[in-house]
Amino acid sequence: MTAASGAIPLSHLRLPLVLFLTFLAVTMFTAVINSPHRDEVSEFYLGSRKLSPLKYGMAMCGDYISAATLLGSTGLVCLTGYDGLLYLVGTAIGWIMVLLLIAEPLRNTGLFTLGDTVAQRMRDRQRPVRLAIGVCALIVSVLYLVAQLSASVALLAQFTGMPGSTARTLCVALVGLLVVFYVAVGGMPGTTFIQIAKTALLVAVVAVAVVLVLRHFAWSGGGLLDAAAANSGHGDAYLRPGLRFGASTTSKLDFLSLALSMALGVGGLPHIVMRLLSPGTAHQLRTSVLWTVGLVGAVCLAVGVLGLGTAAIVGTDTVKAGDSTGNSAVLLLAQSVGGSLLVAAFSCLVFATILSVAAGVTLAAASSLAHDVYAYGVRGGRVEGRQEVAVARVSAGAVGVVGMLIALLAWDWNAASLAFLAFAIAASSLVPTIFYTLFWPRFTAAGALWGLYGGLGCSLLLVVFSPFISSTPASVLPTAHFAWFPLQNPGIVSVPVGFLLGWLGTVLSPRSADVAGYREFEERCLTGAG
Amino acid sequence: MNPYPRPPVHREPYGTPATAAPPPVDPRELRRLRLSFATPAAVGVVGGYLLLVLLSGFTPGLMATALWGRLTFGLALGLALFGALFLTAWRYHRHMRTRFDPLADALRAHRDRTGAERSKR
Repeated sequence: MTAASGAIPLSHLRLPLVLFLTFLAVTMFTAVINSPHRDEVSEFYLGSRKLSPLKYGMAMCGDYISAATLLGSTGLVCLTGYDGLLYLVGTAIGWIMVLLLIAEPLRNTGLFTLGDTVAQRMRDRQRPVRLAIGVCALIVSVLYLVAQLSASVALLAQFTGMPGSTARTLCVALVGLLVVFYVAVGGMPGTTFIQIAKTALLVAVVAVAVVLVLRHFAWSGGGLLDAAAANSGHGDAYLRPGLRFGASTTSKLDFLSLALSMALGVGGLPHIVMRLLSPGTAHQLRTSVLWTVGLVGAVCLAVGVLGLGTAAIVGTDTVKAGDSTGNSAVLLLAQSVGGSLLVAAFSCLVFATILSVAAGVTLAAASSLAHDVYAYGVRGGRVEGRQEVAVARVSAGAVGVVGMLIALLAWDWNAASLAFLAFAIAASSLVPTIFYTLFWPRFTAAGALWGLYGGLGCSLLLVVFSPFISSTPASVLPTAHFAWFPLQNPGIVSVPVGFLLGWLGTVLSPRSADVAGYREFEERCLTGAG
Repeated sequence: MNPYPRPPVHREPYGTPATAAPPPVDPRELRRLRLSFATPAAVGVVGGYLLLVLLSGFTPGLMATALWGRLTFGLALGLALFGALFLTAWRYHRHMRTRFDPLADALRAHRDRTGAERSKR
């Protein structure tokens, strides 16, 4: 062992660095070239509305597949077999809700953010509602951003061993600054391009790796499963439920809670919602989301194959020796089936993924800050376009800095847990409001406020008192003991609470809803007219 | 001042204002067309996943039943869910294109027409 004690020798960092710098140069150049002209609000928030559905689909896939999926899920499948695979199904399944129920009505009634759609239902009280939506969207986005930034430290650790505080700070600051550059300069057009480039890279690299793995087993799925079970150290139990989530009833419920958050939360993630508003027609959007379902599904299946392949070819002992979380799995697999070239390709892909997802999230946070909180919440809608774009650019910087600071404090928190937390908060605060707004004629502003703040507060409260924060060795505060809520993921309680409070607030509010207005709104949901 | 004469405005025959023309499609029918497919399909796929998670947690023996070689019942269900995801998405796209879009287009065209008439008066 040399001084560098990462899973992959440091000398292998040169090639990925060259690849990554090429990726950076191309995407930054495009971000500058495509930056919104004349500071048009709609161009900054939506970008071009005339791309092909395939490109929109690739952009949505690029926004969704994060480093947690690439590094974390491969490791989870490698280490826990069946349970990891079950988790991967959930990563893809949430998109069906987006396609079938949320995407088209949101696009047809929306403008730039979720707040624009909800405000149409409650025009006379749109200020507090927009503020609430902005607050929820900001919290979800910042959590997600922190998860991406800490993933960059995890990636660096694969090469250099656990980085010291200087290396860590440099890494987070560099990624953060790049992200702010993309968003502040490029707006939506710039970030769309980086998503498309990342998805193209993702599909190519993952396809090559899957082919190499399957060829290793003479194209036999049975052979792959046999070898995976044999080399996993668990034998037959590897392909049975229970390695990860089967320890107790609590851990089983925890997984159900996570599954619920994943299945419902996708449609509430602000950066996904923002993407949905971009295509020019409902038909284009539908075809785009169809592409996304195909791409995300295919990537999840491929990640499953890669995870099993790692267990079969590399063996779980080697994976765990480097890093007990399994984050190194995919790079070790690349090393053994494709040599340093594939390692370079994967490292570049993970860097690109971190950058692109962080950029998408920062853009969403900046637009809810500038549009919902500033332009409508604070100024009551009396803001000029130029001014709003300027505020959005500054907001991108502010969100980036806050994200970087939290990431530096929280770099050793589990990045995947932070991302799940974002899913759970989105599913319990924003998703109930989206559903009620689109489908419930009687929904009122009071219901929206109760649902948004109630769902947000409930999920945050449960997390504070969960084992994520205290009481276990892996917690943020391992020595403190106030975890009276046993589950890591609050979804199973907070999602029903969010829906219930939205309903209760509506029923108890003294004002009656504008049901006739809803008929008009619904027609717009369906046809996009008006 | 506008130096050009106004183009002649097409007027409906007296007594039949444009807004009186009934929409060619009932919006409620459109909603039914969309949700009668989307709601059961979404509930089915997502419910199927949550059920799979529950079954895996509480009846691991059943899920470990070998079906064919290494393929267990649980793994087969997981793969089937991916199949259901792709199939549902594709069927929904086709349903909307063939059944929903023609009616929605007709209603939108009608609204644009009557909206334009209304703004002229």
